[in-house]
Amino acid sequence: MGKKKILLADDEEDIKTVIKLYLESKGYDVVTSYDGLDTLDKVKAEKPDLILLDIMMPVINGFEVCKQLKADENTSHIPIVMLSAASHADSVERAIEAGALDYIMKPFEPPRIEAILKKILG
Amino acid sequence: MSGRRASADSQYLGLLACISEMISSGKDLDTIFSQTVHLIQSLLHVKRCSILIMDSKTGYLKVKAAAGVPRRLWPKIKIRPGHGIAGRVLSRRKPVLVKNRRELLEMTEQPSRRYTTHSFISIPLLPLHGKGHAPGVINVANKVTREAFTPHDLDLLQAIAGLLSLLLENTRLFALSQNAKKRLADMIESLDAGIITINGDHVITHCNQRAASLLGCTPVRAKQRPLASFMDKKTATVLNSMMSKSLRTKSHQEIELDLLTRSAGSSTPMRVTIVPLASAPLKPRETMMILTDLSLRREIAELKHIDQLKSSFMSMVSHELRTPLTPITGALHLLKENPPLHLSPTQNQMLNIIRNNTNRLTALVNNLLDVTHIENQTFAIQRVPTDLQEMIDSAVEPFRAIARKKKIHLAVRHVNCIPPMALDDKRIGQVIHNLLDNAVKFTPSKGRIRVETSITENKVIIRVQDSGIGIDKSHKEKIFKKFYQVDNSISRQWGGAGLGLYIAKAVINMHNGDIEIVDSFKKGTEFRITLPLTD
Repeated sequence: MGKKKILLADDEEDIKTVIKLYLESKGYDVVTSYDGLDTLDKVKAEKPDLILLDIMMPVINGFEVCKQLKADENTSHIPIVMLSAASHADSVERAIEAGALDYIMKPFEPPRIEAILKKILG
Repeated sequence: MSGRRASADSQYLGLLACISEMISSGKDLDTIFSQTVHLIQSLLHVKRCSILIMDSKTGYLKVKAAAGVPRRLWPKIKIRPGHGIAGRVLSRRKPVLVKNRRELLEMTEQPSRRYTTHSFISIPLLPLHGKGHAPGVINVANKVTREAFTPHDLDLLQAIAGLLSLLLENTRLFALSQNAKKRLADMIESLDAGIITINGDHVITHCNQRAASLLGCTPVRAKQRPLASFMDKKTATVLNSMMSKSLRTKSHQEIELDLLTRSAGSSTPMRVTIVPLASAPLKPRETMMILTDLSLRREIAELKHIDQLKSSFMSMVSHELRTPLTPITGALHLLKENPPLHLSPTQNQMLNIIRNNTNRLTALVNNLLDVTHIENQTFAIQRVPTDLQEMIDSAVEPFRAIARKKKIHLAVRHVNCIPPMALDDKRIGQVIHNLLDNAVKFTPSKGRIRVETSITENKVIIRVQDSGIGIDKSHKEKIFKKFYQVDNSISRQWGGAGLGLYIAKAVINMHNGDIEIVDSFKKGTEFRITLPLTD
């Protein structure tokens, strides 16, 4: 059984560096994308097992990316976990509505991500 | 006999005509009464004639007007309803005719030898509406001729009494209407809205105090001046045409404008409502103008706008602060868990300092975010089935070590068994954690801290008591307010920016519960949380 591949979509380079390092240390394969459009491209090219998707991204925001991926039968099966520092109370609801499985509020301790990944990917 | 009678009749008719003329002349009550008693005295040839009116303050009949009775005696005459002949007339509302001294002595219980009266008539004044005692009586005594009074005299006096009753009634109604008018005028004067009545020529006929001050004038000075003389031409033209339209269409007209009055120099935002006044059919038709000052409303709108800006700014700030905190938290975690190098004790200590303070910063930013949500009413809780006692036990656990170190006796007691409740366990746990955190900080060595849960009347009560320095009464209400700090020296302990208890209250209130500081608890502090039992 090979390593699970995670696509980490966030426009903040430092966040990506840290999370990538952490997840790699936990045995995951991590690829990254830097905006909404890039994320859609990377999903098609990389076929990740799970997507960690930031909401506030340039070009196309996370909600929209999530909706498009869920609408495409080639990608609708990929579990999506939203990341956000958004302070709107309805963000969680909107994320779930868009098709996300879970939602992680920034800032967070890295083990929270691992816990969620384990729960979803086994 | 018939000739004399006829002449008497014509005299009586003259008397009646005289009195009715007086009444319609609009003279005041005292004058009419006084002239009436004198007219009766001279035309009926009687020694004495008096009108007594009920004094509502004392409950006695008192002399209002009299002829043949020295004025110095007037104040001495006081008749109680039901007592004496006049008093009985008053109560029974029936006239009495006494023909001679014998009859008089029969009627009075305590006949006095000094009675000089031999013939006597007393008639009640009976206004139409009257019930209970009559409001007054009219008395005549002793004909100069020493003849007895006749039923004819009685008829005449009754006719006069009827006229005077009418007069009393009119006076009463007039006073009532004056009162009502005064009340209405007082109400209009005290209104916070400006009220102006304006005639068909656009001239002010009346204006209340508020309207006058809005126009920069006094009510007296404003009268009879054209409305246009108080404002710029353009506004006046607009208002005048609205008044005409209001009269023409018999409808309300309304406009909001900045009223620049000549004297004030600055403009006031105002709502002007124009109402046609239909109650004056003979005069040129009037309109009423209601001026409502909108300055305050505008200020409130502006303040609300500023408040919204502040809220969205706070929301933006907390978002912007959370973003950099994410990689800091992650990087610290990696440094601690996966040390790339062996750190020296000092380096390790420095790392701990960074981590502790990052956590503090995160908590602070989270508090700020909570406050933003509370203010925007977007604060939400997530209820999950919770074993409250277990939750409290685990909230207390981290404090055991520090309590031992400070030699504080830390006890938890669950009085009753509490069934599972639907609570936001993380939020309530945080509230208990904060209360304990403070309790530990404020309780000196060898003190005690007690956490207790119990159930009473479908309510769960959680008490957190400590034997610390306590909180002064004057702070007990305010301590739950936003940014409130008891004083600078201890504010740091109370959740830093004074948000901890404010959020705690919001969390508890979202659960339909309450949190308060118990007044009766003397040595130290007791926080009491009340939560309704949920299914």
